Amino acid sequence: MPLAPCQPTLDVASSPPCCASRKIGVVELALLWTLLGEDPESTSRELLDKVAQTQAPLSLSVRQLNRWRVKWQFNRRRGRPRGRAAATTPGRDEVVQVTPRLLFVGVHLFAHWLAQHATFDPVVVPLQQAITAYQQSHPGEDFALLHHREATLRRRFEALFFAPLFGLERLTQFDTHEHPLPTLLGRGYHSSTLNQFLGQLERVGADEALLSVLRPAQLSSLAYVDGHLIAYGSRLPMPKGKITMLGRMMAGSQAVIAHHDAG
Amino acid sequence: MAYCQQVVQATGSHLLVIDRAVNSVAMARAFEEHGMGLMCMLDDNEHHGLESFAATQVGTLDDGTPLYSGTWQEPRHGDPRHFVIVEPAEGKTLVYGGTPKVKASLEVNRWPALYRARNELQEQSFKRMNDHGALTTNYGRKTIRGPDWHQQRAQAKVEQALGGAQQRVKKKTEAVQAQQAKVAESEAKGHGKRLVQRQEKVAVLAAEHQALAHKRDQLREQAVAFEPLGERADRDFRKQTIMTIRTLFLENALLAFLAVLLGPMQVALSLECLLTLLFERSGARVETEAQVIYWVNTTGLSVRYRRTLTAVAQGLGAMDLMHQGKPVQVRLKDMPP
Repeated sequence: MPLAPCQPTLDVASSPPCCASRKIGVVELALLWTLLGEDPESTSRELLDKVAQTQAPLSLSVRQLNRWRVKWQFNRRRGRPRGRAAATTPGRDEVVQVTPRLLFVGVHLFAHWLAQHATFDPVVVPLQQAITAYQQSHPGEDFALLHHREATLRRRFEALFFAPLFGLERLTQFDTHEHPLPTLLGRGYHSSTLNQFLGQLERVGADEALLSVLRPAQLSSLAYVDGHLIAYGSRLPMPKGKITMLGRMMAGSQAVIAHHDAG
Repeated sequence: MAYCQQVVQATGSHLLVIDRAVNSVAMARAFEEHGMGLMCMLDDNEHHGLESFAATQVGTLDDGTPLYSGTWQEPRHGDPRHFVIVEPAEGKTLVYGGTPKVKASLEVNRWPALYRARNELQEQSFKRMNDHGALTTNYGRKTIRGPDWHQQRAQAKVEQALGGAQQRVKKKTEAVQAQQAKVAESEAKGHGKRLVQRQEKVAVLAAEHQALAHKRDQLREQAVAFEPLGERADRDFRKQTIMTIRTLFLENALLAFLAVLLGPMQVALSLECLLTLLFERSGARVETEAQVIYWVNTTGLSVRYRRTLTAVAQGLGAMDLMHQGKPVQVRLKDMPP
């Protein structure tokens, strides 16, 4: 528990309540005040080390210094300081983080480029619109996707987006294959989470909302149109509704895909 | 046609290039009626080379192959297409067909190149997406209840047949009545031979009428026997659609990334090569206060690939990549396997 929950900033009280004592003068007090103002979380021993390096060393014990800190409300919690690395100002070449073994380096660089160009913004916005529309049309419904923040939506879609580049063709492979999602997105995902996410996207009708992200930015007079068929093979019974091979009816899906003349 | 109209609505492109699956005259006419242009290629069995066309030479291709333009030698009623014929010295003749809207919008010299671009833009793109985009993976096996369109189609077919049968019965009834009037006229006038002929004709018409009526009654029974329209389970494709859109979005992003990367580079690089050389390689990452450095492992690379990867690293440097306000640098390093 901090002893002083609300410490004054230097802007509020720019000068110390200086009342020189028998052991310490006003100049030394001002020096201590300045050093404490620069780094209020430093330990008293570190502070004394800093003072010792100045031109006017003090003969002051840690206990005495702590009394002054309490008086000035510059005291800090007991124990070793936490987050010292973040509090200090390291040099430009000081290493902040090292990942000695990183999988799929190029995907990380690609992700930086995508983030730099805000590529996922056109995805997240229609998803949020679809969620809002679903909430309005189904006020009684309540599931996780309806409460996702923008960052969560973005991160989960990114996990689905990058999966093929990691060789993960099926969502279940998230559980069985090594992948660099933790270094890429800051956290990993299990297939159950992404399956649930995909199922809930389906529920809010994200398929129609996401079609807008494929529209080209520039209109072209020419379009190439072709169909893409995927046969569905399974031991489970599946309605046969699509022709996936010439003269044969079997389960599968059919997509019509158009490219403009720039690809 | 419904798919193509949706594509036109979504993309704003009125000229569509489609493979040989749609090279029928009926399809060309339908496109013309809907104000859209269609370019496709004729099958080899639909023509006999240049002699099938009344064509004149309009130019040559880059390799010197003559290019002809024209229509059918023997005019075919209702075929709106114009043709561009490429007749190489060796090999088969290639015939490209286009509706009048295509002819009005595109120079005939460009037709072969525009059609050939379909191969790279679509067929190669599908292969790439199958390889690295998981395009062929099925997602979701949930079924969804909907109207039974098998029953709908069967019912519609019977109702259409019943309508036709009723029309034919009505016509035949009128014909029988007319013939009976003629028989009565012959009886009144005392015809001999003509009366017999007319009576025979009445008998034939009556037999035909009876057969038609029987057929109509059968169809009517079938139409009555249909149960109320039922439901049928079909596969729910919404998940599949979402993941297909994901794959297409990924492909678009990869192509855009490659285009930016190749801008300042002097070496040719395919997307497959980039994925293998850079994307799939391991390495290390060091973040300092001032920058983020990625080390790419080059162990096991040939000299040529190493040279290409060096050029890629330089290209990435020229892209000014940033991460949380820090510049990103890419360096190559030999690492132990």
